Amino acid sequence: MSGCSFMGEGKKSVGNWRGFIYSIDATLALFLMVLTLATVVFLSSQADDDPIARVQVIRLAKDALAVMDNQGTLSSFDSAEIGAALNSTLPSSIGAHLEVSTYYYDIGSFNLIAVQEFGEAVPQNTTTWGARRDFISLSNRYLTNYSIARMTVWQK
Amino acid sequence: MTALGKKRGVLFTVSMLLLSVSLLSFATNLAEQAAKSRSTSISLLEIDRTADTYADVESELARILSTSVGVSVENSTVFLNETLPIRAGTDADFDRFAQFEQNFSDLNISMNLTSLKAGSLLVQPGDIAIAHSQTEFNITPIDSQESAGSVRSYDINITYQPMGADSAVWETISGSDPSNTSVHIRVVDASYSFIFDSGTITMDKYGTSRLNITQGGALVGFVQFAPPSAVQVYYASNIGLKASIGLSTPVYVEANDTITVSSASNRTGRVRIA
Repeated sequence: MSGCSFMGEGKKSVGNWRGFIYSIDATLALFLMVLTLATVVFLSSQADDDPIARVQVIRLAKDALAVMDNQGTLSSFDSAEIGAALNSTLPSSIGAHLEVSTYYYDIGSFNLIAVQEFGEAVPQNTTTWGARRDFISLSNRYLTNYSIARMTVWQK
Repeated sequence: MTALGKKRGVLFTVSMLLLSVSLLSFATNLAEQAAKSRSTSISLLEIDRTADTYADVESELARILSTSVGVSVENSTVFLNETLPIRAGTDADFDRFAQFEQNFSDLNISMNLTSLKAGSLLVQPGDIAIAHSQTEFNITPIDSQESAGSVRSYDINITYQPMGADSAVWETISGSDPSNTSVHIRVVDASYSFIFDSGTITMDKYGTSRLNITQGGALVGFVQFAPPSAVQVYYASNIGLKASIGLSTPVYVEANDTITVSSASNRTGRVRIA
């Protein structure tokens, strides 16, 4: 009689031990799975949607500024001329806003004399990128003004 | 049986552990590659920004120089279009532009513009120097095959003010030689009351030739060719000068000055004019 109860208790003890080991396995697996998911989600969130597209848009803006500067369009400060140049140098899928700050050198310092804006208004809640070009203005072979052109572009 | 079961259990657990570790490593690598695309684009943008700023500054310096000295290059020929002497205040314009960039640029920009302020340029390759002073314009190659040896032709057009010149006579002219240079000189005054045209002649690039220009018998300038393949234009008053230098290889023109643009990426180089 005592031998039978002893065997019953032994089986129960083995079962408990097996259950404990299975539980440890499951907990370990769950931990590893959560760790894997967390790592993948974190690192993937650092990835850019389309990095080449961002570089390309900024490149377009810089090239447009260079073309307008070399053609004398920027230093004309003419709204119609600059607007036409923006339309002809940038793709129709790209919107652009241009701000030109002009300085005059006098008595050892540069004084801001004008801030002019051209192109479309920058839309709200849109990702935008910027490009900049510095240029000088000449009149009768004399250097008159120093200007900074800042272009904001976005994908329509 | 129990021992066997235990061994199987341990084996299973270890196998699962190893599989999990390998899966975790694989997933981490994949996610890292995806994240690198962002840092790559940021690096590209920084490099692009530095290069663009450098090119912008270079372009504006060439524009300031063009108020007196216009330079262009077509393959192996350098074209100069100048109003001499160089406009007073050009050196101050260079200094102010450098100060403007230093004060207002988003990046750190520094420039050494000693040569540009003096109107000194170099035709490369070959280190052919172009120099200006208040009364002289000089083209001076180095005595080497790559420098003086590469000069093939000179074309020089000088325009004096009205009634500024009335005669141009060769004082001496070197003979033709196998190592010759093709030369064409034209001297006029702005009213075209005086025109001298040498036509295309060949000269020994290691000989000396000199064309004297006078007004009322008084010397108002000269064009002198001296070894090796050097040209000197002397002028006593304001002139317009258009010159071209034909060489045997493609060339470019730079100033022996440096621009340094510093940001996340840096760039330092000489000022390239054309």
